[in-house]
Amino acid sequence: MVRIAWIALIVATFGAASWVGARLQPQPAERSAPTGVLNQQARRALEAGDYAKVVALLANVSNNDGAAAESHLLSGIAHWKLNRWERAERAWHEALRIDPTVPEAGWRLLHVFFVMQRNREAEQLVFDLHPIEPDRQDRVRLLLELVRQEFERLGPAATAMIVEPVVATEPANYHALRVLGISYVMLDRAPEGLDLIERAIEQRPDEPDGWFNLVWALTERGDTNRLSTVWPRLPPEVLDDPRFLRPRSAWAHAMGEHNEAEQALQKALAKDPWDRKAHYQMARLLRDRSAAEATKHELRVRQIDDARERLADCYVRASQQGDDPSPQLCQEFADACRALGRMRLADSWQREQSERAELSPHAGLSSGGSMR
Amino acid sequence: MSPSVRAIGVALVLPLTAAGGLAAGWLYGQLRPTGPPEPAVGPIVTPPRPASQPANRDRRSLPREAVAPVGARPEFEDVAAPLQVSFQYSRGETGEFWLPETMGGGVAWLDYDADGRQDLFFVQGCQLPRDESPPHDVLYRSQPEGAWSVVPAWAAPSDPNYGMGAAVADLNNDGFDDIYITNFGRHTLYINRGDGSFVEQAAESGLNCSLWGTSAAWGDLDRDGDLELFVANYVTPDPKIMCTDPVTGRRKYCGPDYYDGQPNVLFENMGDGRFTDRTLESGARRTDGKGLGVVIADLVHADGWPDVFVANDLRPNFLFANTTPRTVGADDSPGTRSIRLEEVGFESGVAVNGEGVREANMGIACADYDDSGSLDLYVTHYYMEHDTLWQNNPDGFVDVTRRVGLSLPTLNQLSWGTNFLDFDNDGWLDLFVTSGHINNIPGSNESYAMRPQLFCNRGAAEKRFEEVSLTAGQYFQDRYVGRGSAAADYDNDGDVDMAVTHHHRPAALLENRTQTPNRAIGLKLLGCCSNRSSLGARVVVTVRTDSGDRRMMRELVGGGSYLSADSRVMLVGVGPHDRTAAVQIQWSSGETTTLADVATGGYWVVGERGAIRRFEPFATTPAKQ
Repeated sequence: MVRIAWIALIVATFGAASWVGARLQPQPAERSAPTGVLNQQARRALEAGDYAKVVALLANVSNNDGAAAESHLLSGIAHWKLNRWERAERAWHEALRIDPTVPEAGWRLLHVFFVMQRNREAEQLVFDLHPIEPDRQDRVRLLLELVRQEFERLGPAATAMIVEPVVATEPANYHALRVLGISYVMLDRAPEGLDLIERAIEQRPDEPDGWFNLVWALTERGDTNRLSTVWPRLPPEVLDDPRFLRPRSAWAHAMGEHNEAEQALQKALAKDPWDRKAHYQMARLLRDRSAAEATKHELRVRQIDDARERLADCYVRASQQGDDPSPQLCQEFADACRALGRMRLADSWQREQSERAELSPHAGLSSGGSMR
Repeated sequence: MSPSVRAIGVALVLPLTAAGGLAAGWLYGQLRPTGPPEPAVGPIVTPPRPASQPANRDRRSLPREAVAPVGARPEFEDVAAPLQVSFQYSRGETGEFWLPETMGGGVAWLDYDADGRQDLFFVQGCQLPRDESPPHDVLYRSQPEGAWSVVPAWAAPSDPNYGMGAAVADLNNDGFDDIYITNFGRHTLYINRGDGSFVEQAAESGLNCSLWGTSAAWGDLDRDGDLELFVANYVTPDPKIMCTDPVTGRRKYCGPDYYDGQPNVLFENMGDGRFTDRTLESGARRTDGKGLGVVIADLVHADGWPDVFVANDLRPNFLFANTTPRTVGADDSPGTRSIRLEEVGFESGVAVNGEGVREANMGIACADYDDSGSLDLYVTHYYMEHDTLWQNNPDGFVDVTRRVGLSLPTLNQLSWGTNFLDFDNDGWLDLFVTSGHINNIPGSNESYAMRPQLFCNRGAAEKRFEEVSLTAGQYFQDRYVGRGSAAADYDNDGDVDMAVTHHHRPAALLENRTQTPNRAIGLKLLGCCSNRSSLGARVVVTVRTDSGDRRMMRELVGGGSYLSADSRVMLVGVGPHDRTAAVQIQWSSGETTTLADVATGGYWVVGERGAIRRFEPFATTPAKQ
């Protein structure tokens, strides 16, 4: 249910955003009230849809107050409703810094990461929150959310609908610019999309995500001429990111630079031995030279695919078990994650398995039961 | 039915105008060897130059210089309604969300009465789980003028099962096209009696299959002169499993990942009207596929032995390389050669896309799009998975989708039927794709009805495809829930037309009205040592250009598209050339026929070992009103 509610949040983020203006100014009479009282007033304003008032009420809350974490949470929600996602994100991070167990803030950040395709940050956040989340059910839901984000991605049309107002409100929002750009590219609006991605790169030229989006878009477009102008622009430190090594290899291969193509893939696989796409590219590269080596890489592709399929199946079964997976199913999650090289996630599932097996020692003996 | 009533019916179905067609059947009887093989035809046959070599209608008035040979504006018009082709697929839609309701029905071109004009067969659905008065499949008989007629149900293939696809070939080599129909349930085989009627003979022929069949393909896998049948089967749906949309909470159709796949089936033609299931011993049995599309063509090594490619939904595709022993022992006759297939999808590079990602593979187009002399594969995919074009190289297949500009325009589509077709006869094969979603969820960002697409192949200079849908006529401006598609020059005017099936709307019959100075050469191949349908025959048309000889290879492949069957009549665009330097036909038997200095502008009827039988100029006036 929680996951469904979160998906519903995705579609509930439109509108509500154009008339902030002077209402954001803090109101002196309310500034002096205790934080708890301000939070209550802010909650009422939030329910009434008066997001500017929420922001104004909580603008000067002291972080030394015990209720400050909730203030930042509420302030973040108001900013989010106003399509000011960068400020929302900062507020929720602040809330978690003050109190890592503050309800909702982590989930709201996960939502932002989901929409903005920031998978690594989502994973890191889950690993931070999972050990300290007091509620047993919510703990496992954090792990399930990571899996969900992997298998239930937002389509470009939905992403564009969500992110367009954000870009309108925050024209310099790096992640919003690049995600909207990539959505436009996927919706066959490549010129507009590429323009937005370039704007994102201007904002943060040292960050790899925007560059990766640009390389991806040009590769999908088959625009090798423009792609060849991008490589020299890339900051040297991002060149070793596996996400660049693969397209770099494909580009080199297309240019007849087979050695460079192979070296790039070797580097990618050294960094991530479970990179399915790199394995497949390597298999294709080696096929005419060494069938045996190519077959080894193809085998890895199949093993990784099988593991992904098992993970997806586990997720469906967990949903059928009301997001309360049996110890057996937790074990299967852990096994699938391990086969995918996602050791930290596997360890988290293993801990879940142990705890659940302790709570119901006989449950581990029963089969999880496949939906098929 | 009494014989007299039946005779009247036959008379209605097959009026005198079909006499010429029956003559073609007779002609084949003359060509087919009954005793020792005929001596091979001479190496070069120079056909007579016909008195007139008309270009397509309306084209002669165009000054040639005024229209660039490449870049003609495509123009298609839906003429189904004026021709009274009013078929609409009945998907059932009980509200119980039976998965077959999403799949659509196929369309097939065939010349069932052998009159030289392509007729049109539509596969029909019905209500699930049972329908007390199901609609049946429909066969339209094309007319040289005016409305097309529906062949009466008692004479036509009129399968009342929940229909999926159709595969057409002359499987008994009698000169008349037969039809195999895949169903959600028992499949059927309709043998063409040659008198204008069909008889269902699946069980008698040994073609027993009750799995959920989708596409099927005919091909002479053991090259013994008769055609094997390969059937792609899909999944075993479980009505107990229900799926809901995560955003709206509304019930929706489940994807194939919720169900177990069903194995494909290979039937060997025993040459006596019976078929034997050879799935297991041939190596074709795989339980890890969910087949939607299938094509039989010489894809591996160009060795003259047809291979089998199966497009699997959400599973790696299969490429079954034909490893049937090339020689037979002294005691063996060709008919006892054991078919052997070896699955080499991964090794060949077509199991998954160029990034190693397995996709929801749907329909297949198979042809040599780049004049390399090898057959390439184009496979349609699910929403947010771009279609994939695999270029066939000497060291395997390479995903060139991005390179040729087909990635982004197809990413936002959920596509099914697809065909290589040369709409402007410039010799470069263009692409047609029909699309439409599975689920119609109000408020969803994923459109249910989608635009059909036409991509123009810009040829060797640019090596890219450009979408030209928006300028291709009214049909391409609208959105449909498209499924099957099949190509044919139904009006014999020398350009390729299309038939497309949809959910919720009548099928379209798209007449090609592209104005271009380009010309074409048509080939109606009549096998004798090879199968009568000439499936597997490879044709190389050579034309002289300023920059040297240009060679265009075409193969009559079995299967292809989605649930559908293209015409087996070959049409090769040759640009502005009045004559071709040579036409070489490599028959599936291994025989070769070479024709030199051949006129374009019409259909050549060519028999294996018998050289050219006759020339039929393209129609110069509209065949319909």
